[in-house]
Amino acid sequence: MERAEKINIGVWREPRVGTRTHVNARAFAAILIGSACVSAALATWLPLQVSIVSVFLFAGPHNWFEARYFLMRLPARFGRSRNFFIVAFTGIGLLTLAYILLPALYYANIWSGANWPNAIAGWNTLMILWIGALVLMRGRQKANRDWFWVLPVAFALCALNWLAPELFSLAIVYVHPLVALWFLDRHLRRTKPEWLKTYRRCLAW
Amino acid sequence: MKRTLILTLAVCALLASAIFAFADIPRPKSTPVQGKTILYSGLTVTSDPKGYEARLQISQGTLKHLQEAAANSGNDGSMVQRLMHSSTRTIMAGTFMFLAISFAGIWFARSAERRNNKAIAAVFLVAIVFGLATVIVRANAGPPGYIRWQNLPQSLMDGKETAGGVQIELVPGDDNMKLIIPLRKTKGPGEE
Repeated sequence: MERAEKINIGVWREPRVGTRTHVNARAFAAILIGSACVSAALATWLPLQVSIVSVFLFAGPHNWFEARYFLMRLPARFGRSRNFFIVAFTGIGLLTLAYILLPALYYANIWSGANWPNAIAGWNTLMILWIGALVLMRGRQKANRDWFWVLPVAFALCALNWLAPELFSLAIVYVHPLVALWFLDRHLRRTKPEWLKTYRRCLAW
Repeated sequence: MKRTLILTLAVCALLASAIFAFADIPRPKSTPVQGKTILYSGLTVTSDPKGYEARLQISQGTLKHLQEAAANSGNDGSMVQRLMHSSTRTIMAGTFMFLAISFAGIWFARSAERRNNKAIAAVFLVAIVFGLATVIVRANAGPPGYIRWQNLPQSLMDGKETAGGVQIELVPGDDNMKLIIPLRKTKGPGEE
């Protein structure tokens, strides 16, 4: 006890603070713009090869950004968000299972190819409604927030999905990596707020 | 002998009647084969007073599209055509459009107190989206295709061209090509 009282707490520091690299907003912008220009030049030079490489190269990082943000924000105890996480994890499980089963059922000749768009549209509808339910549940946890507009938007997306299921699925494939940009925006807001303005300007540019 | 002769004649008469009776049996009704639309293109019909044979001219681009459509005949026609032939998708899309408009109305009424320009702009955006979707499903369809073919007989006699839309269908069998023109009988001023 006596030794514990003599511990010098004045010199204690967070271990990672000293090793953290300091990059100012201008350098961050230069890196972003430089990367975009190099990517554009490479895509112009070797369009097919770069497109294949970029799929494999960036499929990992954007999923890593999202997973990292999700793990950082995942609470140790769900508390009053228990129902939210139950719906979230149940939806992830069921939608993943259905996504795996759809091709298997198709190749097993369970249904004809003519019904394939309907099956895709059904899966897309479940995904949209699941996301809408999560947004509504999250909105109820915040005071003075009316996120009821999510319902008409979700139903409108469902209608568009049923009009053109294949195009909607293709749009999901191309749009879902952009969600990582939104995750990165939220991540920067918490960890590097000085970069946020530069980041948004670069995105707009 | 006489009895045998009569019996023979009777049998021959019976056989002959059987042949005639068999000839009277109607041919089995052949169910008309429904063609499968694989491509929608345009067609121009014209006459050639100096020609000896009827000619069918197909551009290289159309032939290429035709070959691709025939190869992918599992996917019949364009997105609009598939949607028009899929009642399930039309019903589901219409149901969700109805729900979207209904809930948008509820949301708009609920947010009447704190209504602002952004909300109104969002409503207009949704309305524009539905307007575009309506255009896609051809709710504002133009006149039917047969209108373009109404003057075909007169144009052929006058040596003029007549252009209109045409659906290219794949029909089983090895029959000749058949061009079906949707001509409606029009009554003259003095006809009843």
